[in-house]
Amino acid sequence: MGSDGGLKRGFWSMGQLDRELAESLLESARRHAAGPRRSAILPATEIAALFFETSTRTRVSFEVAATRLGATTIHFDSKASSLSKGESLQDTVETIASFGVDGLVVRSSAAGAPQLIADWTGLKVVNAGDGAHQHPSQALLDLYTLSERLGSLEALSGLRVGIVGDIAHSRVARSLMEGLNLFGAEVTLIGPATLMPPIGFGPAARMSSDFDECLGDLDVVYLLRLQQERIGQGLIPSFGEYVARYSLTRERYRRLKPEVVIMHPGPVYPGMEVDSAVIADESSLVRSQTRNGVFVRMAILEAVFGEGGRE
Amino acid sequence: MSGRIVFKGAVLLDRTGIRVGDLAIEGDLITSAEAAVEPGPGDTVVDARGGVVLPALVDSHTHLRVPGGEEAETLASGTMAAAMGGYAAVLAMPNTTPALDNPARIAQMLAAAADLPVKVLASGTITKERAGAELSPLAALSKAGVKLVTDDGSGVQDANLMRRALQYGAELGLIVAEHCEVESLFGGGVMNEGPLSAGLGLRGIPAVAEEVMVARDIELARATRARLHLLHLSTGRSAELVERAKADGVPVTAEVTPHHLLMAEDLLRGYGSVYKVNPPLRTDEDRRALWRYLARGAFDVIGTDHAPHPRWRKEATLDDAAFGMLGLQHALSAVYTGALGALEDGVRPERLPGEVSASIAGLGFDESKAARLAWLWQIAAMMSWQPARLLGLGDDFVGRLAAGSRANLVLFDDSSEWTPTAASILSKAGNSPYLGLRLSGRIEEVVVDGRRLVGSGELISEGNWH
Repeated sequence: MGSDGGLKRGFWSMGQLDRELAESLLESARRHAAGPRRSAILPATEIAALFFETSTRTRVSFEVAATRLGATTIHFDSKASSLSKGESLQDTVETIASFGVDGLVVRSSAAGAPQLIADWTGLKVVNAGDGAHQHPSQALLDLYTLSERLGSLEALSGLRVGIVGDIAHSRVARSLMEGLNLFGAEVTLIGPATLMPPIGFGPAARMSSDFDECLGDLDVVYLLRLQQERIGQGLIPSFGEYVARYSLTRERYRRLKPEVVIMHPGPVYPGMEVDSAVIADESSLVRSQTRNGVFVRMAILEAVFGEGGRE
Repeated sequence: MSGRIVFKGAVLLDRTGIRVGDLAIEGDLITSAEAAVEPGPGDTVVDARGGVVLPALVDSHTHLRVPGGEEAETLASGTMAAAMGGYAAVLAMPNTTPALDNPARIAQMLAAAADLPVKVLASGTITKERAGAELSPLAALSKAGVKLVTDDGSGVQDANLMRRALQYGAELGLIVAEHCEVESLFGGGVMNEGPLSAGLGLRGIPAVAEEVMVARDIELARATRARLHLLHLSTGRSAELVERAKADGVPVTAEVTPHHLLMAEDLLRGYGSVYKVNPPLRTDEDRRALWRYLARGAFDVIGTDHAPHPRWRKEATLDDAAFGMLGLQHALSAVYTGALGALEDGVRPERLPGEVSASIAGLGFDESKAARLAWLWQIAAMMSWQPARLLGLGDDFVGRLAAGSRANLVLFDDSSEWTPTAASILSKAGNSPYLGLRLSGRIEEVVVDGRRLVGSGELISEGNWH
């Protein structure tokens, strides 16, 4: 589905946004940041949060956003996303839909789950992260945070952003690349070939396996989290070797531009992707990212569920 | 005694060529072909003008799910779907629960299927319990009538065990059939690995997971000089490896499926689990390559890999859903639709026997109709008499439309354009990828052993299944 339909059926992928729609969402987030804590923009709206994959941070962020808009959230925490014999996922979500809620916020380890659930139930669905596919609210809060630091969205044009780490398995990287492309930033994906998607998989980007070579060019360094299981899968030999090649150490940090910005979707493992002193430095936007998440999610919920929501 | 079945004015296609004329069936035999037949009282007359009568089909690859999977399919529902699809016989795959790895289990399954109007053939496993560790009792299986053994559903991972299976099977005259998949390369994937899977955030199954085992097994067959059959090949590179091996004289045959010939990975864009199948739908480039290699003779049979699943196993995300799709009921239309696409790409069958080409030329049809008939002949060869020969059914089972031949045949309306609907599915399962898809060519009549199982596009002999 393209941007022409707006977000009235839900928001599951950055691919639904054009620049104009993304700008209006970010503008709405700015109004929420400056406005009163509580409003009645979504009165009598019931949103069920279906988290098939645990994520306290994202779930609470959505719940705070919904509460501030006057909506009610119902929390459905299901570890049993995998099928039990005889009852399909479709049966489960259709049952929840039959309770009459207005929409769903869905988090799942399975790519495509939000889209499928929207198709099955006819309900509006907001994607809170699906497998290695998309995490659009994260991408929008990253764009928001960057534009806040740089002073404007226009400043993203020509900005050199390096996304470092496990790109192949990252929904954050996929969504962010699409968002950065909308505003003309130049993306370089940095990591070993085993953690890279194939060339031509989607949004435009350069690829490099040599972080050191890229350091002097980058305006933004966006670090991704690395999962332990990548060693067992034979994708990297050890954490030690990963740190040696791709961690943002103090030494690498000194070789970056002085005005560089450091970002990370959290939770950060200090000493792994990034040195603990570097992530605490003022060039790091990690805290702003977390705070801004609530405003951006208020904007998303308003666009999806609001009466006069932006088309 | 009941009257004859008379097909009036059809194009008659069999392994010797294509003619035009009438065809009459009496009892379980064809009594007249080509010459004009004057219907008498009591005869059932089918106006076959504009259609093509061809030998009934034989499926080299059907998952009937019996025993153990009756929630998804039964012998009755599976063979009803087969009859609708024009099949007179199907080979039941042995990856059941428990697996068909010994003569007793096979005898039990065959006994239950004995009275069905569609013939059910049994295959056996290569290894005990399909566990990939020890050989099944292959001599006992062979004695029980098994012609083909396979661990389909998994490849034989142990190269030495496969070498021994080929050697031991060859001396028994068994066809050892491989599901080509190196499990360590498979990597828990759910669709073809490539830019599309990366963009969708789905784990990919790389083409090399198949191709490495194709290459390994070809070398094993070369070394042992034993007969090897490769199931459901899905990539252009696999087909190329087979073509080269055949040119070298390696005793290898190969199968391709209707879905790999018609569909490509783009269908996964909407995350629909009905398109989750193993081997996965590949790139459209691969699909086109399969047609080019098929036209040159790389493949011997088109087998459906009909794989029913209960609803709950498919109403799921791609990560959780089962692999497999229905095939029997729409296979001929699917393949013919794919062939028309290949024709548009300029691909034509290159291995038609001279007398077949001559018979088509002699009909005086325009060039485009003649090209379509050439493809239909090639398809019939790969879905009817070639699989029959592979499975040891004998040349008299299907393949000839002549007085004295067995009355196993299909009337195919090659000019029909249609869209299958869910209500028409005869399989117990509903996981058909062809629902809502525009197909070319439709089966109107099916006669098996002289019995009219399908008439005017509908199953007319449901009583046969009870």
